[in-house]
Amino acid sequence: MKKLFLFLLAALPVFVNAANELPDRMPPYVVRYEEGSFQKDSGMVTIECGLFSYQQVLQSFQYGINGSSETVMVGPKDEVNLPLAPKKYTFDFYYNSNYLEIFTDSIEVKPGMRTVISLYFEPVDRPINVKKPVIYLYPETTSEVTVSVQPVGELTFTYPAYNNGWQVTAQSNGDLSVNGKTYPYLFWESEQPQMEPFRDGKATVVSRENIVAFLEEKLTKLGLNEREQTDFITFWGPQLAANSRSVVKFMINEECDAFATLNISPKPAHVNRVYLLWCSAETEMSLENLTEQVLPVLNRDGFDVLEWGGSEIRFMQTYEANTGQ
Amino acid sequence: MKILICLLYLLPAFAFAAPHKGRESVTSYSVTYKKNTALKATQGEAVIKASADGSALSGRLKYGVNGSSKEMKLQPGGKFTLSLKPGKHVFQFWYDNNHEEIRTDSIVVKGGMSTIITLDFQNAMQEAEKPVIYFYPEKDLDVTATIVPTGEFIFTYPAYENGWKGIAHPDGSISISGKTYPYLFWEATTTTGNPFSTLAGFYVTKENVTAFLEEKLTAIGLTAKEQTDFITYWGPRLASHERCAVHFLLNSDCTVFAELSVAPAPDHLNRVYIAWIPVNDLATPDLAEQKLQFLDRSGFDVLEWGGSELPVTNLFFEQTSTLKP
Repeated sequence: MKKLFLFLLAALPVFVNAANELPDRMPPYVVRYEEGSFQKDSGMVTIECGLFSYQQVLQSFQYGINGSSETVMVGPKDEVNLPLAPKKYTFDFYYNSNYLEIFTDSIEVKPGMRTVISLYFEPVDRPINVKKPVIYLYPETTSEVTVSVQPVGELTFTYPAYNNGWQVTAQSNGDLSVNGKTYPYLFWESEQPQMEPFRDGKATVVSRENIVAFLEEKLTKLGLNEREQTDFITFWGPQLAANSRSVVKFMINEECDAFATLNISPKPAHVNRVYLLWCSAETEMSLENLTEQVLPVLNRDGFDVLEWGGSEIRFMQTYEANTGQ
Repeated sequence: MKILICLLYLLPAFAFAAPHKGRESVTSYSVTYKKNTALKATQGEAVIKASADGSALSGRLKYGVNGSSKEMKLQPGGKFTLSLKPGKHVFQFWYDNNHEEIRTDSIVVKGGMSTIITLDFQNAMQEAEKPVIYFYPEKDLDVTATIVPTGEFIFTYPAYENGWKGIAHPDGSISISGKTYPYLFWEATTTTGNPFSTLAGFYVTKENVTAFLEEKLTAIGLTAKEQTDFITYWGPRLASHERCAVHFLLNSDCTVFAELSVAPAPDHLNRVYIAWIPVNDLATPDLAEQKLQFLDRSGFDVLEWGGSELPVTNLFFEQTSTLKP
């Protein structure tokens, strides 16, 4: 069994090319049912586990069932068998701080069958995608402006094309033109190392139903105009709404140097930057020690530049560890 | 263990097909073996058990073994049996347009044993992503827009309450309840069938995504602002794959995603959807260059754009077999 497992790990690169080019959304777990010779009133859960890195086989991992906490040694078969009465359970699995914890939705253990849960622990140091930063320029009169972005990571997409900067003719209504074509904003995306923005515990838990109202309230308070708010909310809203709950925090102005620095000449009166950092928070996670962020009101007087963007962070353990959970 | 093999081999397929918004992926087939004394050591058989949503399927199932193309009437329990020589075989299964095709990796059929392949067909629901609607009345105009998606709404902005009712402005924006939005936004689940069934479309490599989209959207007649909104949404998505197959759906084609009605009736209700499949280095059928219509945008014009990423399977089943009922 173990030999086969190692063979499998060796075979994976054929499909994924290289360890650091993992597909964007590998499911952290999959569930399937097998026929088993169990009593009709009993069930069996088999947990198979693997890591997305080579030649590593789990020795043990921690798991919880409906919030309990246990540690289990992985047998020579790279699997763990747990007899469980047939009904629905939620599970969580944790290997070590180098890998993301896995939280499952409710999984039904079916009577007389083997319920197989396959786990794929994902490394936490996978790069994050800095998404959709868009830059609006609002000079007081039509001006020639040079905008350059120095991302912390690597640019993955820009529009229009970025050639060591954008040379822009900007009008006071926000319309931009580059090489004779008109654009409503400048756009870039990048990929950079993982970060831990929730470490200070300053963030808000937002449920799916409240996302739009929450974003409208915060963006209005910050001072984004209606067009900027619509662009922001139609980009981040559906992504956040895919989770029953999300943990969110804003990074403002110079805090956004953690993603990129912006150089704009002539120098604007105000360069305003608003980034949203968020993480899916399944309802099983306890998040009561978060404190509300205090947001400033952006000064948008004079020649004003507004950039918004953000990133999905897929790692909450640091915060959990700090609060002793 | 064989099951784990299948599962791991399947993963890349998930990964490509996996939507970006964190919907759960599950395995679509598993393999088990059972001794069968009716078979000699030189004889093997595959017992197929087909189900969807936990229920056995009935009717006809199209299947292929090592590239062949056949059809079989399912027995009670969604079963049928194929006599096969022992050895490795690759299978594909297709039930109907509402379910995703299942393609297996190489499965070992063992002599003297029944090889039981359990199929779990997944609903082929996709998302109509980011449809945004711009209104261009000749002067300020009270309008009502109604969307009837083929699936269920996932997200709308501003809130959709049996329609959007507002005052549309000549610049494309719309005021609803005192707030002005640059466009209306909705997302929904959808069944798209196979937009590639006519084998018309384009292959686009990563490097050419922006130039390709600019060329086609200009040919279709989108404005600079619409192009920027479209390209900054779809560009990074397509460019995250080495190669994509692309097909545009225009105007009445788009009713597979949703019905859109606007009152008073505009002179032109223009809709542009992009259906695309990440194909990377997979063998793909030849696509005839799709002829694109230049949209008439004169008078009171409404423009909607959106699209959907489709699973890789939609293209392939049609290509590798000529299985038509």
